[in-house]
Amino acid sequence: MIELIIKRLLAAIPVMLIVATVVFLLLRMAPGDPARVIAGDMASEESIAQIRTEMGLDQSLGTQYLRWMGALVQGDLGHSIQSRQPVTALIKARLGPTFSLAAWAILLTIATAIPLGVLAAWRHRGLADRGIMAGAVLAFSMPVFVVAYLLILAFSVHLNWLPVQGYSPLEDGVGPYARHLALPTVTLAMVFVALITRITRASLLDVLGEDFVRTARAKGVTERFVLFRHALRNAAIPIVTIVGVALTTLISGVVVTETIFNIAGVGRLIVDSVLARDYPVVQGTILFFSFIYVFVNLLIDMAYVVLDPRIRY
Amino acid sequence: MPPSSPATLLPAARPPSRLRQAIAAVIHDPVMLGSLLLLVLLVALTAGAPWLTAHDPAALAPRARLQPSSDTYWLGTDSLGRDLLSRVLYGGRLSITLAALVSAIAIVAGLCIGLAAGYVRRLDAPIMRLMDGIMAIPGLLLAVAMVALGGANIATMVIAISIPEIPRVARLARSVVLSVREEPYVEASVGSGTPALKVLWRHILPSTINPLVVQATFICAAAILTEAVLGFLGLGFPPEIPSLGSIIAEGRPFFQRAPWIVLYPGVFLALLILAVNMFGDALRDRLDPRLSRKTKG
Repeated sequence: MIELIIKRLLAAIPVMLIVATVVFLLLRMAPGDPARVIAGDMASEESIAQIRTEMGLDQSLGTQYLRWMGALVQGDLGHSIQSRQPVTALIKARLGPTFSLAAWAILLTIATAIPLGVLAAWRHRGLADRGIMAGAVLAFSMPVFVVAYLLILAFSVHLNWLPVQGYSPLEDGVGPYARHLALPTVTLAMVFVALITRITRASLLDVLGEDFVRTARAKGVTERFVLFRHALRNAAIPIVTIVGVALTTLISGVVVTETIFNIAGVGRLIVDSVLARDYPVVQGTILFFSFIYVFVNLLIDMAYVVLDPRIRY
Repeated sequence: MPPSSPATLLPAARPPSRLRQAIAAVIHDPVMLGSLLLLVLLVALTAGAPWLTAHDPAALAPRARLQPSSDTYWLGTDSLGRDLLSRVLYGGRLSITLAALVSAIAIVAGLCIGLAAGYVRRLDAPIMRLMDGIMAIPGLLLAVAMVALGGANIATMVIAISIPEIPRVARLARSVVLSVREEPYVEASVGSGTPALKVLWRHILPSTINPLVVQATFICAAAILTEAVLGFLGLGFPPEIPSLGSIIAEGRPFFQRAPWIVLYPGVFLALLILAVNMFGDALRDRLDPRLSRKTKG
C-alpha cells in the first residue's frame, strides 16, 4: 500500500507541472496586455513600462516561464500587487471559511444524495423515482445564484431565521457558525446533490440487474441488506469517480457562493483579485485550486483499491 | 384505386426518411417534445425581442424606478427605470448566441484534437496529457481570469468559455475513434490503400456525430451558466449590454425592495438551462443507448 501511495504521488508530479504550464501559457496568451490592465485606463506609457519591468513582463516568454516555474517548485506563488504579501500567505489566511463551506457541502451531499439515489433505484419507475429524478433535473439546472436568492428570500427576508450574509468562525461559538453557514452550504450542495443522486441511482440500477443480487434475494437476504451491502458497495466506483470529476463544479460553486454570501474565503479572494487586476494572486489561486483537484483525484485513485480489491496499479 | 392512395403505397413504401424518423421520435417522446417546445419558445422570444417589447433595454426612466409589473412595464423596471422584460430578452439573446458559438468552437476543436489523438498513435500520449492538464483547471476560474485580462469582448468571452470544454470533447472523440478503428470495415479500407484523411472523413467521422450532438447540448447549458456567472461577478460584458447575470447582480442591492429584478432573469435563466439539459438528456437516450444506461435506467 505504501509503495502504491509513493508511486501515485510520483505520477502526480508531471500532471501538476503540465497544469502549471497550461495556466501560465493560457494567461499569457490571453489577448490584452496585463501591465496596461493593471496600470488602469489613465496611466502614462512610462508607468506601464515600469509595471512591465517590475513584473518581468518585458523578458522573453521562456525566461518568464523558467523564473516562475523555479519559484513555484520552491512553493513560492509570487507576491500580490495590491498588498505586496506573498500569495501563499493570502490563500492560507482565507482557507478556514472555504474549507468549512466545502466540507459541510460535501457531507450534506453524501447524507442526502446517496439515500435519495438508493430510494430512486429501489422504487425504479415508481412515483418516488420519478419525483426524485424530476427534482434532480430541476436542481441541476438552477444557477447557484438563483438558488441562493430564493433561499435568502425565504429564510432570511420572510422568516428572518438566518443571517443574509457573512461568516462567523467556529472559535466564536457553534451557534453563529452554524447559522451563518446553513444557507451557503445548502446553496453549494444543491447541484452536487442532483448530480450524485443521478449517478447513485444509475450505478445501483446497473448492479441490481446482476446475478449475485438475484442470488442474494433468492437466499432470502433482507432487501435493506441487498441494497446497502451488496449493491451499493459494488456501485461505489462510478459514484466516487463522479465526485472527483465534479470537483471543478464544486470549486466554481465555492467562488460564486462566497461572493453572494460575502464570505472571505479563497473563492472570494480570486474574485476580488480579478476585479483589482491583481494578476499574481489570480494565477496563484487558480493553480492552488487545480492542485487540489489533482490531489483529490489522487486520493480517489487510491480509494478504488480499497473499494475494489481487483484493481491493482 | 388511384396509385397515389396510401393503401397502395404502404406495402412497397421505402423506409421513412431520416427527417421523418426524427419527427416521429420527437412526437413520441414527451420529455423531448416538451423540452424542445420550451426551447423553441424561449429562442423565439429572444429572437423577437425588438418586436415584442416597446422599450429600449438601455432607455433610462428615472421616474419609473423599481416599479413592479404593470401594463406599461410587463415585468417591472430596475433601479434605473429600465424595462426589465426587454433587458431579460436581450440578455437571453446574448446567452443563446454565445452558447451556440461556444459549442460550435469546442466541438470542432475537440473533434480535431480527439481524431488526431485517436488516429495517430504517436500523438496520443502527449495530446491526452495536455487535455488532462486543462481538465484539472476549474473552467470557471480560467474563464474569469482570461476575461479579466483580455477584456470582455465577445471573442475573448467565447474562447475563455470554450477552452475548458475542449478536453471533454477530445476524450469523447478519441474514445469513438479507438473503438471504430478496429472495426473490419475500417481495417479493410486502410488495407486497400485509402488515404488516412479519407478514412477519417468517410468511415470514422460519421460515428462521432451522435455522441457529439449530445455533448453539444451539455456544452450549451454550461456556456449559458458560465456567461451568467461571469456577468454576475461583474466580469461580463460592459454594463450597457444586458446579460442575465449582470441584470441579477445589479438587482442585488434592491433585493429586499424589488425582488423581481433578481427573480425574473433568474427564472428565465433556469428555464433556459432546464430546457437545454432536458433536451440533451432525451437526445442522449435516443442517440446513445450505451451512454444513457449510466444515468437513466
